Amino acid sequence: MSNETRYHRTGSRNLLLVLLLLFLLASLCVSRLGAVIRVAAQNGGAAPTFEEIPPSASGITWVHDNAMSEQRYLPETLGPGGAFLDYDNDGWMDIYLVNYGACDFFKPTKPIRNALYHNNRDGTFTDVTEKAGVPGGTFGMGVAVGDYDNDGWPDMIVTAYGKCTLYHNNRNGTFSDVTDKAGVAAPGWTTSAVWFDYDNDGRLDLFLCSFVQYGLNKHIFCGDNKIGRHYYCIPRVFNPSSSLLFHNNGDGTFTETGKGTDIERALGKALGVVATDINNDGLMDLFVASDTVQNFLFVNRGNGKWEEIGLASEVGFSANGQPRSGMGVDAADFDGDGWQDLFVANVDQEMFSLYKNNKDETFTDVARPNGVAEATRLLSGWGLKFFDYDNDGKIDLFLANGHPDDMIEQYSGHVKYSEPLLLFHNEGDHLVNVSDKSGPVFKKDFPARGLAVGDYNNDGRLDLLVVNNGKAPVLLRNNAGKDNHWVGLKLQGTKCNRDAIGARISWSAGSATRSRLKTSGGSYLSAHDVREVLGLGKATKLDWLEIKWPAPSGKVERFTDVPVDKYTTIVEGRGIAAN
Amino acid sequence: MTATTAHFIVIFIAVFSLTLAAPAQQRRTAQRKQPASESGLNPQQQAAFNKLSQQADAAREGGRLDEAIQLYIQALQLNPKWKDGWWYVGSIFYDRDSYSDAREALRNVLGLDDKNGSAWALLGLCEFGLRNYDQALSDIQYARTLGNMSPSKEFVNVARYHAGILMTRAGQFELGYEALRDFAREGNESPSVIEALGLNILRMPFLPAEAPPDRRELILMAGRAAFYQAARRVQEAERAFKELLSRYPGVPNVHYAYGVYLLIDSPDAALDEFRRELQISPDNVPALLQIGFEYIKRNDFENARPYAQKAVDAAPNLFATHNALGRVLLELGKVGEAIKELEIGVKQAPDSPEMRFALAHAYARAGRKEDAARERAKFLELDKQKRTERSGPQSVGGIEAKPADKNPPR
Repeated sequence: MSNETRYHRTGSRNLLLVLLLLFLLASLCVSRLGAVIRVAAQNGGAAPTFEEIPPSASGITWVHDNAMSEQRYLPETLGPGGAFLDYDNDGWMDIYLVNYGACDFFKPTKPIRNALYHNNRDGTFTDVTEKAGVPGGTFGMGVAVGDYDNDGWPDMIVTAYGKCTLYHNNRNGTFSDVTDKAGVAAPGWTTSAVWFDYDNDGRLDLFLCSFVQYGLNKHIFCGDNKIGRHYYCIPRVFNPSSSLLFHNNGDGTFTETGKGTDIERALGKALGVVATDINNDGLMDLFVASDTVQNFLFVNRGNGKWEEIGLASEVGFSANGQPRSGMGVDAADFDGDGWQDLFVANVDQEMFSLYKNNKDETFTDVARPNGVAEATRLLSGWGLKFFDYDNDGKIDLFLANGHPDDMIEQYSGHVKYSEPLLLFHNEGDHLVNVSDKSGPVFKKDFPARGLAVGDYNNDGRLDLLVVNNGKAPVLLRNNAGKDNHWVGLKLQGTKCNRDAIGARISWSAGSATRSRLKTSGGSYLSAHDVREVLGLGKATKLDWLEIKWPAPSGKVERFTDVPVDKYTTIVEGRGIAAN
Repeated sequence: MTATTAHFIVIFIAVFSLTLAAPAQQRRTAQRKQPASESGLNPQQQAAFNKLSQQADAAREGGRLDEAIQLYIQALQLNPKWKDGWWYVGSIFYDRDSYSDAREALRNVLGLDDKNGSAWALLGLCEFGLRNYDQALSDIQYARTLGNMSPSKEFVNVARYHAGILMTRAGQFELGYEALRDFAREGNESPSVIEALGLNILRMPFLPAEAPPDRRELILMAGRAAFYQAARRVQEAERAFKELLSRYPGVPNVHYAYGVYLLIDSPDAALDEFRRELQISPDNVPALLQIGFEYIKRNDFENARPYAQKAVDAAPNLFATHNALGRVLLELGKVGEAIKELEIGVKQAPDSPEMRFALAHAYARAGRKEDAARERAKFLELDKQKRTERSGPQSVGGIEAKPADKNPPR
């Protein structure tokens, strides 16, 4: 055979291989395109409102270890939480996730730790936990983020069954455990926490929810003796405890100041807390959800005085006068009347409550006319948040759910352990459940606990991090409101607390004038993007923006040249910061 | 034990009781407390007492109960303030079904320590044995409120069982069910539990021993369904209820019981069962109330109203009916009428926390702030008390009294 002949045969074989590869590649593309088209078709041709970003895409491979045991120790089912925070101040939201750890009833057989993920700015994250020095090591519950020393760098308190941990940001990508030095080594079992300035001295103080009195020697067997199954006990069988308020002394230390106040006298089983101003007096109040005992509404009367008015304000008990299993909470002016409304999630059969502010330190439960009661009848709610997901200017609501008892399906025909997420759109005068139109993720069920809200890709649409018990977290990218405009604000206090918690933001765009209070906390065991995203709807420019900085400043500043569809830093007394 | 000895013991106990115990209706407020350690004996008497008490304990532990009683009595003659001695005398008499003697001995314990939960519980069991059922329930419930009964699970279970059947007998069916259901959750399928549950969910106000013999099969079938319901064995409960319905479709409260079972997971189906119950017994007040309250839960006050009204018409002396109607009227904007209904309910059940809560809400709506505050305070006090009775002191939260307010009068 001539060389020319052999050469052609070889060339033909190579060509065939190439063609085969091209064919395979094309098939793959068509297949993936088909999948995209199917998903898009389900959503009327658009990407889903909330799109699940898998670990393979995000790089968030951490998984929560829920230490589930035969004995079913109660702490196992309560966590975990997570946070969006910009720990390195590069303008991109990073993620912190809390894990369990060794305690009196749990000895991990493999290393488990919390996780800090650095945002790579391309939709992916890198685990920097060890480098940052925030691995945890306690039986962690949740996290609250706040710049308590006003140095511009966010710090973190990690609550726990056991001692909590205060991580001070060293401003170089690392943190230091300053718990003991700061004087916030709260023992017992702490759950949600919130940073807020209760005495208006310009420094963030700290409130820690305390759950029940628990320990290995206090564990109670709840279950079916005959066949030896244990259930997670209902918290009713454990003693309540007082939550804790710490005053920021301004020197890196804190002093417990709840003693002698209603905060100490209020014996509860606290799981969720939000700092807000329910009576518009400029003093931040606290709404605390408590499990199987009444919820508490601590009204800040100034000068260190707190008045608990949960019963009188009609947010403490159900309409029948029963305490419910309060877990997640939030506050926002959902009806746009200038007054902060409240929300609390409970367990199945109890229904969740949406409390409309009556403007006289009382509230009315309007969950039923807003479709929330019926939608939540068989659900147990934890992480939840009011936020404007589609930037139309109105406050919407997201609920993350899951039953606390993993045995529930053995004795209930309709209640499940893993439960669906819920999304409610604000139509102006009421909320509408739009879950079934908002993406395939709403057809899935999760053992959800924490929920953090933050814009991790800086596109002006607030994304979500659902933190699951015993499973991987779920990162949800928000694709909604593509035709709506927005203004992103990072407020920086100078006289008031640096995070500007308590600031009142008002704005006008198009024909709408809206306002918002910068609350703190809310959800369950979780912390959120400190920036504010103001939805403008179809308006392409902001007519004006007004910021009333919280006390001790009280300064009111008005702006007319705030750029749209981007983030802007506004510094108290100095205007818009140059980027 | 000889008749003479027994006679002497009874007289001694009774005489001592008279010197210590307050009259029956006041005995919970007996102020006299004398720590057992303060015997006030001289050394010789103390030595004799020590010897007798040790001999009594040894006799008791050795099963020589006649001898034990005699020795305890002798020791108590020396030291009548020996609480444990009275306790042992009481418990031995109880075990021998000598309820009257046991009662007297236990009253002596309570004369020395009126917050002794175990003594109150055993006293209640004695009253049960003597067929003083109302007093029995009162004493056992008080013991449960104190929350310091003997750690013996058997003892606690006996007290709880008796609380459950006594509440059923007294028509407190919901509370009775709460007391009995934990037996099911613990897997206790004994005939006595099944029977007690059956009487309870059929709303038959009898003790098991009083149950009509011709209803035994019905009671046991209902009890088994209730057992599975309480034990959260869903499929078995469903089967058992279906069998019960098929066998006894026309018996009052069978559809009602099934409706209660369905209420949690299938409220619409539950409403259907309650309506079927009303076809059998048109004035079945619990069924009327369940429908009314379910509509209230759904904020459907227009649909709730006719059922609530009918409940009041059928049972004007039952506070729960006024609670339902009052709440409906309030939400329909008829504040004055609502207050009237709720005030009636409070008058009928001044110790009902639910009534106080509802009335407080109505007063607040009417702008009667002081009245609302008063009712709220009463609600909190009663809620704490009831919750403690039902589930123990650890189940109660809320604002602790300030030091100056501690130990408010009972």
